[in-house]
Amino acid sequence: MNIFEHFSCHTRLPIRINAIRDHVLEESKAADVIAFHAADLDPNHIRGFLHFFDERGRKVAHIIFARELGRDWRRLVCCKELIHILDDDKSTAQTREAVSSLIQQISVPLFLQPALQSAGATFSGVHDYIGELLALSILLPRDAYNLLKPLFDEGKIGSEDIAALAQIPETYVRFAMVDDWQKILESIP
Amino acid sequence: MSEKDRLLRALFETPGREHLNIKFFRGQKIEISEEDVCKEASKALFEIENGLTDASDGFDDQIKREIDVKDLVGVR
Repeated sequence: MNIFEHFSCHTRLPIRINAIRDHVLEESKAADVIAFHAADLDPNHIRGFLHFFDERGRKVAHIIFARELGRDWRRLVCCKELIHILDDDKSTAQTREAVSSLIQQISVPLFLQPALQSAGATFSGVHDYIGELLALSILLPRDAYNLLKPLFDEGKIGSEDIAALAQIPETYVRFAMVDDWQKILESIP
Repeated sequence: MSEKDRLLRALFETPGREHLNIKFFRGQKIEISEEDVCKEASKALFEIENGLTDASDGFDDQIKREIDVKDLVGVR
């Protein structure tokens, strides 16, 4: 069972980041060490990043997030970067060329990012964008979502309430509450 | 040396290490430069190497209470 299937049946919120970490370490066995770092990043530029390397036969993942981020954002950033530890070979930025390409793509202005995605940028860049959606699908799991969506549609619960339950940024809840959310997830390669 | 060169050196020229992957969560600023991205990443890697970050092997979730959405739906 992959990590998305594992968490999709959860209805207890919030999903603990350490549960995702444990899955990556113990079920997927994709890393030997995972460390979280609150660093002096400017979140206007990057909110966080994954640095994954092999050190003398041990796979070490550093999950770095901007110290000034609030809890909800920290959770989203760390979830996304934990998922990237599981990237397959074609999705990793493992070579100098791939890293350079990824940085180029990250630096494209926000209003041009959709055009970049639709133009079919390299896998490492595309997957960086998709990672946010995949993280959202874990922190707002399918079964919990399917229970909350009718309440949201009936106006009995708001996006800010769901954000408080799931402990994720409210803007991402509003995005997930579109009717095509499941179709969006299913379209991810 | 550019910030990009500095970052690439940190990733690919650290003795005893083989780079496997790097990914970024982009910030909200509409326009950022490659040098901005690389400068921030290099700075953070330097902090880590020198023990200047708040580091932990677990995430500080600070969760006060878990709620089962099934129960929430039942009472609405």
